[in-house]
Amino acid sequence: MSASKELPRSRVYAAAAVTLVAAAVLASCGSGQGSSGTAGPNDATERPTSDANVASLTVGVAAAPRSLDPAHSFDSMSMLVTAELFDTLVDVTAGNEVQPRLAESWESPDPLTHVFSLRDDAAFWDGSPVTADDVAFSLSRHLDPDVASEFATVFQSVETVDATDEREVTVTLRQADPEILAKLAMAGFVIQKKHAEASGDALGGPEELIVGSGPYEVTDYSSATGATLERHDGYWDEAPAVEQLTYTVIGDQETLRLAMESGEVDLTFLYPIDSSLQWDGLSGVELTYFDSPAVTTLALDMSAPPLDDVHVRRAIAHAVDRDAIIESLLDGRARPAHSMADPMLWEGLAAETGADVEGIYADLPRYEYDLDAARAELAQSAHPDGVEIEVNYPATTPALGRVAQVLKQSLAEVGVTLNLNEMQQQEYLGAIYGGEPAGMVPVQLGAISPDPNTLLGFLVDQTPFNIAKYAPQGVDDALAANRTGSPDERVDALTTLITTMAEDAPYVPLYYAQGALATSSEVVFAGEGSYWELIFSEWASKIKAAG
Amino acid sequence: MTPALWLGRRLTAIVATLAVVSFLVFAVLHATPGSPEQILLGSNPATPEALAAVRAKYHLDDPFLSQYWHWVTAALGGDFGLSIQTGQPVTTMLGDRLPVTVLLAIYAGIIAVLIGIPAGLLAGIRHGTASDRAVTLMTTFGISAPPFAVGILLLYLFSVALGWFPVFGAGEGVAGRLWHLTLPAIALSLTALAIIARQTRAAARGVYAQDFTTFARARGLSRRLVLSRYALRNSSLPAVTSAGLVFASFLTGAVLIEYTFALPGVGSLMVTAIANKDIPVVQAVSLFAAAVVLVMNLLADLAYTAADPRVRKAVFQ
Repeated sequence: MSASKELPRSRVYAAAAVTLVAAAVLASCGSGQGSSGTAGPNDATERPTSDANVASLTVGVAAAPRSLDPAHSFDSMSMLVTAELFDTLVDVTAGNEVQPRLAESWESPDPLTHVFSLRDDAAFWDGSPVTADDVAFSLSRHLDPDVASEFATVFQSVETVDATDEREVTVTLRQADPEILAKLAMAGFVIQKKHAEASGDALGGPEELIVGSGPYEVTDYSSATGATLERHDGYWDEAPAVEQLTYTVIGDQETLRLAMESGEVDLTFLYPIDSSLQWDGLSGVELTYFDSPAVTTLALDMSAPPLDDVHVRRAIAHAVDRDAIIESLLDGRARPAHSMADPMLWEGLAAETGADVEGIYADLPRYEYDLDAARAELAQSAHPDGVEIEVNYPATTPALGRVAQVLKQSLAEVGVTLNLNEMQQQEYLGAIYGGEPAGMVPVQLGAISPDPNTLLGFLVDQTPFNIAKYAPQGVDDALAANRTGSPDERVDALTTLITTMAEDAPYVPLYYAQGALATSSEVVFAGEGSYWELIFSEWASKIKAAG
Repeated sequence: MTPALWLGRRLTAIVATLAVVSFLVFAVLHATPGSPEQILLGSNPATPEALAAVRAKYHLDDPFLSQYWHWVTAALGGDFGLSIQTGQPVTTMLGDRLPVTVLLAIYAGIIAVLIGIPAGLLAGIRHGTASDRAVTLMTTFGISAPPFAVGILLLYLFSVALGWFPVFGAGEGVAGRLWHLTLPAIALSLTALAIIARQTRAAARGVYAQDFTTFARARGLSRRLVLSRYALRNSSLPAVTSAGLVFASFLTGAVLIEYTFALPGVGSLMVTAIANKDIPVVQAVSLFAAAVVLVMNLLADLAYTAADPRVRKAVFQ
């Protein structure tokens, strides 16, 4: 090569390559403006709305509802559809305020009895009125072992539901339950008794469908393609703006994103967010992020060694780097969790009693990420030389798998060996609920009511949700006070419960993931944008045309 | 052997193979871990009574052979049972999904054949020239590019950027279906197109070098006649046999394309059924897949026999 002023070819190509790569990296960073970092309660900016009719809205869902029968479709995906078809007795807000729905008024003569007076203008889609009989039938069937309702555990405090008068329903509990109204608001869907009895086993399937009184009527349903809902014009409340809701199944998230971009899908729920989203830069798409109290956690099955040893559990708790997991796996779209009860669940109780929620949580035993502390805990345990733990996680929830892999690395440095087993959903469920010791289970547990007890209640009792088989000692007084006490007594009782749970560490909470609602810019979600309005809740009536 | 006897023997072999396939699939499913009733009851814990009720309804606690016998006797009568996951009759579920899958397979097959065979012919006849290299490059791309990646690329280019085609779904009505299935059919056909082109190219190269072709050209026959009667007919036979298998794979193995384009087809039904251990559905779809492959094989053999007199003589002698 002569010593000319020209750059050698290879240098030019190398420089060009570096420039291209740098440009690509910068471009991908730039498109994510405002997407990462800690987010507020919700990022909804106020968009103007109009009262115009919206002829149709296409909703993209990852899977069709498993059934239209509420007793057999208790999951957040299916309930995006079923919550539109049925009314419940009451509704509940983020601040735990109860609002009338099918019930105009209600009273509780004693802690075990709740009496509801029904409105007289509520009608099913075929015009027949909603009677106390229908309500009693709809709620009682969740208690019937022949129905095998998925809501049976939710309503386990209910003894009977009876129609005590033409417009009156009485719910009798077997033990006091401060969350019963919220549970009825979420799971107490009212279906028409006549149609249900006539359909028999085919109720909720594509042929028989179902009859409810909600703002939308189902006209078509297929487990392959989705469902079509039409506005119920005889609805007792204000008619929603959207005339037709079409739920269409798109399993692949990338395809869903492209469909939103091309305008073929108008709305979709991204819940929970379990990976970095490339949705922030999409043109014609508005994103509303919301905090959710659903907690991703490690359930440590205490029924078998080595997890029966509290020092082993605490060692695991010290080896979890929540901040790193949230930053790298979730793009910052989650809040670190140090308790199974999300602080945001205290809103209603704190408003009533003036409790200092921040102070309560600041005083909780906390396991900071500290590998030396983890080793020290393990040294104090019955297995100072190290332990081996089985970890089962479902292939259908990649977030749990990624968390397990991160933990495998950090725990290996401490002397805890994790054997990761990826399995299909039904095998994973069988491993958890099957009766064999389940080892360490990464799992996502949801919230049913805006009350700190929503998850705690299931986790300190011998219920199937209590995967860790946790049986706390010395908390019977707190449990009783939580059920029957005044709001101030409940605050003390709940504080005792979450403190005991943090000390015993049967569950190592990781984070509270956010969710997002993506809509086309032609429609606006006109509510507050809170978890309680969107998930497990009737949401479509709050969709309005953009102004 | 007369044609009737030959056909009879083949059909008997098909039935016997189907029986063996159904038993093997049943045995493998039985041996895999997991409990199908758990999925039916959702991801929330169910009472032991509820689980027991589902197990009883689907005979899941019976001994293995008894369960198989139960299934076989029902299947012979046309009753393939109820899906554990949805409670619907399996035949209805399969029937709902067949039209999309069959249309997609035919569409992709037509694209693969209509482009693959002429391209292969061109490459084989003009062996060593630029057009041969171009076709070879195209076929290499077709074989190596994964269908789902091509699918997403097509989606982005034609559906989002240009807006010519819809992003997902199977559409309604004949025209709507064809419009919706165009991009999936293209993505699905690429591998088969490449294989068919390659095979045709190899056969055409051989045929074009033969004396009879040279003689036909020397005789002054038009190029169209030389190509169609001699080159095409003689070099398309390997493509025909592989086209049969390719079509069978379209019917049963298009699951990645179905997933990418959100098409309610048979492939995704099968994958979901296996994941949820939905035994009746897996049995029915495996039988369907096996039957399709066997019948397509038979048809390809028949086509070969009909097209090539030498084979006809050998088989039916």
